[in-house]
Amino acid sequence: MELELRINGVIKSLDSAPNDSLMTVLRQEGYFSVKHGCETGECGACTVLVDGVPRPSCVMLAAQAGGCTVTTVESLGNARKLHPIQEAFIDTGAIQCGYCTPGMVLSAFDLLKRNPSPTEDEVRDALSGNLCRCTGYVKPVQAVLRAAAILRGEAVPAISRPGSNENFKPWNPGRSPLEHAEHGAAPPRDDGSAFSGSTERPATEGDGSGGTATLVETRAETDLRVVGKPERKVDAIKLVTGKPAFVDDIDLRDMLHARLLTSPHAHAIIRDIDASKARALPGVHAVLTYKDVPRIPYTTAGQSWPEPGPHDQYVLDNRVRFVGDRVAAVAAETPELAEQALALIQVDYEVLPAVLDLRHAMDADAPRIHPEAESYRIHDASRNLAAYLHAEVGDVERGFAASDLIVEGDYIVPQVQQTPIENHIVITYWDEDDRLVVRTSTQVPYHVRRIIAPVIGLPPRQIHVIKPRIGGGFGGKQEVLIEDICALLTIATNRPVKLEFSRAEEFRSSRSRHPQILHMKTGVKRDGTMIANSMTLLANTGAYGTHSMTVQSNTGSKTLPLYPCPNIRFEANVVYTNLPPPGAFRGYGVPQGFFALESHIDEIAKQLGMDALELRRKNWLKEGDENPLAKALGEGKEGYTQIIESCGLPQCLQIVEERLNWKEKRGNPGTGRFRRGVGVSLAMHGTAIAGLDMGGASLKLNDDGSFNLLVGATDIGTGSDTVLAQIAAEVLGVRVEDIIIHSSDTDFTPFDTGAYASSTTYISGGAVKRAAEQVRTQMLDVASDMLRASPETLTINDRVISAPNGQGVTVSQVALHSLHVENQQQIMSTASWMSYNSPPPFAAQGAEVEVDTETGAVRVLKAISAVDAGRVINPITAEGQIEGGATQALGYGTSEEMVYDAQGTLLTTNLSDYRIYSAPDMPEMETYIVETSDPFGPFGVKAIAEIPIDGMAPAIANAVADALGLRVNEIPLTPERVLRAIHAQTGKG
Amino acid sequence: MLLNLLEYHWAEQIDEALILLSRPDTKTVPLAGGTYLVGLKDDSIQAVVDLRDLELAYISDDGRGIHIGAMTTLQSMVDSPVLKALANGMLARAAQFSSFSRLIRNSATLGGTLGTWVASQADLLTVLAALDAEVLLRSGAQTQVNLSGGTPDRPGWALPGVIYKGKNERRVALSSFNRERRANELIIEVIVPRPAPDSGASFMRVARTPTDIALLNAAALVDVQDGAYRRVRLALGGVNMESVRLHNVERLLQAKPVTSGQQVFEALQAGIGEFQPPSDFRASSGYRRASGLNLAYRVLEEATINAQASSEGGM
Repeated sequence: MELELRINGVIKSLDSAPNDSLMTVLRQEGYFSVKHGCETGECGACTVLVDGVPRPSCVMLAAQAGGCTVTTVESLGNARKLHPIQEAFIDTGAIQCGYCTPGMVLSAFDLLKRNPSPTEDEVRDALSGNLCRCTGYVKPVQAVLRAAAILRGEAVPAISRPGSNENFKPWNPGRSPLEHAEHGAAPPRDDGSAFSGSTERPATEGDGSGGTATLVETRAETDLRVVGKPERKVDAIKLVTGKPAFVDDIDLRDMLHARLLTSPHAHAIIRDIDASKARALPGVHAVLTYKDVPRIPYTTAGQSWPEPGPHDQYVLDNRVRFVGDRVAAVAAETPELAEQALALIQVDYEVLPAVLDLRHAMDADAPRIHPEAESYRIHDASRNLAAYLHAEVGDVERGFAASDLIVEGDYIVPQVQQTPIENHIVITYWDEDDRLVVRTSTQVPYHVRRIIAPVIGLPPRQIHVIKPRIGGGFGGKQEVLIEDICALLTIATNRPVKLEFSRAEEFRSSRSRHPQILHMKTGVKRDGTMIANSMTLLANTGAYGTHSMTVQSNTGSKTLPLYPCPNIRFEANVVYTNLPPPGAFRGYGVPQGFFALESHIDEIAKQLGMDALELRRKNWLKEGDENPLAKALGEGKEGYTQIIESCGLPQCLQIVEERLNWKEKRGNPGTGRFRRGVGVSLAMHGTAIAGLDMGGASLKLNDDGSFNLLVGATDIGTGSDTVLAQIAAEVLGVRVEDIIIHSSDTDFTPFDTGAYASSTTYISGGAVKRAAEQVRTQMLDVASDMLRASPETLTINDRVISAPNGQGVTVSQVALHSLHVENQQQIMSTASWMSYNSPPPFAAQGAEVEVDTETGAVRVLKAISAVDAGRVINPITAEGQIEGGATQALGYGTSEEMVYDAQGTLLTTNLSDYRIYSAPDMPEMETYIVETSDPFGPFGVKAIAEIPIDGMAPAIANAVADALGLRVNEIPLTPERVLRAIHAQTGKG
Repeated sequence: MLLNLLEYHWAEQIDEALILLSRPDTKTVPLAGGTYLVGLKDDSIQAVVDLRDLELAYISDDGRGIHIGAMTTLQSMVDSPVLKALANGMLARAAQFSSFSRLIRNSATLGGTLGTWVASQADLLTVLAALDAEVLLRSGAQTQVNLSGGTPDRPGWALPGVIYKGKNERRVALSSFNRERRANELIIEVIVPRPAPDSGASFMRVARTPTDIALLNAAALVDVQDGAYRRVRLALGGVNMESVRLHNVERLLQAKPVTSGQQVFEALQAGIGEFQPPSDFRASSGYRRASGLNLAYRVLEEATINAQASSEGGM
């Protein structure tokens, strides 16, 4: 049908099908700011203005907009002239992955048009339809309020970034600095201003923070110029203007669309499969079943070689092990044809008994989920035991015997989903050299290349993996989930193929967090001294083993050392069931462990009659202590001894205690229907995997004094590109805008294990720092020749290399000299970095809740996080990590849960039933960064990405226990669970 | 995706829409906001009729009641001063909570919400039930079957020859709307009777987060006169369930003096049996019954306080 739309002021006549959504048509027309995140209008990534009103374009037929004006974010501003809302989003750090940003900007645009002076609640309502999994909405709300003030003509606090390029002038190589020297004149600066020889930086306006977090500095002030400053994200402009930056934002000629047929049964043998009708459908180019692909066992866990977990998965198999497991794949000219082809595939299933309850997975009569002989690294397939872990220091039983009080408790944590707003998506195609290009939304491009190579029958050298911008990962994309099957379809068709999950498929067929049942048993003296501590858990890895061993290993190794008593035991059974397999999810087993441990600590304190914080202070890990489990429980193998060199836990807890008003509010729930309580949890984590994670970086100097920084590190929205650029700029004595960073392309960037284990700033940052130090040395060598001064006497500051006599040359002049004038060489270096130390970040998190005793409804009123992440490279991105992580934990504690029916079919397949927090749902949120400096990482950094998600759920549970005087030992704390606990105590029901 | 959607019609007249919707050979459905329909994977739908040009987006007050056009968006209801002033604003609030997303509220309509009924997951249904709302439906008054329009395979089927004369409108109580609605009827508007001046209302809900879908909700409208309940209206509902009027509770309280909460509680205990909520993965029936009783008590309590305030100071 012919359709006339006025898009961004231009009237366009379009030929569209009646069932085309407006989102589809707009993307076909090249408006890539309109993103796909769901098919129900609930995520808001597809927001457009229709006649000025923000609406979700995925649930609008294109014809519904016929004759209307349609506005996308492309029309608001561009890199040369941003709209004030876009500026504000950049300035306040409101952009993380950027996938939801265009939609948010449009919702804000509509709000400020209607209401130039909105309240915070009105801003939250305006953003209510734009779900964000990264930011916790703190900074987007700030951004809108800031933009409102700017648009009203009010003065706002300046957020001037060090190294702002506002005064940048076009580069001109000019005369040789030697000519300047010969004439006795000072050389021009790279930015065109005269060089004065001064080392002072340009003055900056305002406090420069732009954020909300309070930075609590416990270290001495340093002379760092770029590190520690709230630099703008290097990718912010392209994200806020909706530039085509993500996997799907390309047009490839003749691209086919792939769809997967998945199992309707939790456990079945495919007796036969007939795809002939599907293959005969015009427009269908390939149908793959288990008969068409080699049967090679592999793991989808994107981990270092050799992957330690079970290799129990096959591209396509004649046995399906969960509802949503792959059965067949189709590539066709259109998504609709592919869908039709799926319906034509005839599958003869022999339905088998299924294991849906992890407590019965090891029963003697339980059906075996992996009877096949080819799979390996399964701990005991005959008992459905994917992995087993046991570690003990001291003698726990003797410790219990020596204790005055033994407290036991069981705790249950749910299966929850990463829920990035961008679903899994991959595009594969042959390049002009007949190499397979895999453009994919991944956290682990190098692991993708290595893992799919044998599976698809190509050597790694023939595979080129590209990671563009990623719309959130949170661990879910540390899985090599769909790249293999898409690649096989390209191999089968010789055509580009795109495979993208729908939201329902993302829920059903991707990965999640392991559900666990944990038993805690702790022995203490009357004064609270912990003598023995034991954690025993049963975890569900679903149908495949992926990260089964390492996630559960972290449940013990990252939590129990927080209270380093002499006798500690950890034991885990990780079982197969016929449910969708969990995998890596931010926190990686640690949130589960801390829910049990930190709930349990409160119960111990209660039984001892002690203040819960005092008990923690009495037993916690301190600077100088040895991590008691580090050696006994490494990741997939024995670990390395770890000494705690920095620990800001005392300051973190003091802040949370004060901000919660602990002394006044604890144990004071009030009376009547609504009760209030406060709760606290401590947490620690790791920084990268000791002795395993590695990153590489290449750096080269260009004529104009800019540097190409190539890193394998994978920015998935966390801001790691920015942070790594800051590290390079700091070492090189230049500004962030001098660093042109390119990340994660297996052809062009060095190896990096990937974005997981909170490793990037520490590991990849170490590589960048080392490469930059080597380049700096080369620059000084050249400059010393130019200035006739010894290299060790030279200093670099703000792009100028100075000799003690006041003479100086700019970095650009050094580059020109070394490339064109004398002893020509490319100043460049490549370095890598790994570490046997994994310094733990620490956190204290607190919550205040209100509980309706008549319905069980829990409302979180306040959520406080105080985090010690070592030295913070960029406080604004660090705040964003904390706010986002804590927000995901709010959902873990109160609302998120994957629920199945009795046949193992997932019921929570949309964003209403699976509830992540929206902007109006948020409690008051406070964030504090307690800076310490650790000796191992670059500039003293420790990890920040995962620690904020570790402690918020137990803090909420402890607050609910404080409010009610009873413990609910299972999350999420749904109204029904809480009311049942109340009734159980009062004898009702 | 509507895989087999082949026709898209913009109706400019209601009768035009009715004709299209009545075609027996082409499965045709009305399209309002689209938020439900377009997300539906219904391969049987062959045609849609877009209702946006029918001028059914309005909120008006004729003194006896509020008329809300079927194409009025939920967000328009949230923002409407008329609805904010009606029944302590509970209809506007219910519209707000009918979707957590303002984007969806900008698209979803009242008619679409009623059309999708329980699947809409909307709090509106409970509040409209408590307000004794009625739905105005229209269909063709007379259908003349043009036999010549049939085919050899399907003799007698009217294909292009359906003729409508006049209009056939009827008002159906919202509480029985889903049972009584007929195929090919179009929702024109909802009429909400204006509550008595000395009435008070209350709406409450239970959810996992503040703006989440309601596991349970309750709405009450009470008229209080001379210290006694003149009339009580009480409805319970929530996601995945029909809203239910608790008529027994209403009768038990009618004409009773507004004294202590005890008599309200006793009436609820006696009459809560009418509330038979389903169990689903979000909440069990037992939980909904137990909490429903508490929530019903609280909305009656608050509505009574509001009514008393109205009696004293005017609404």
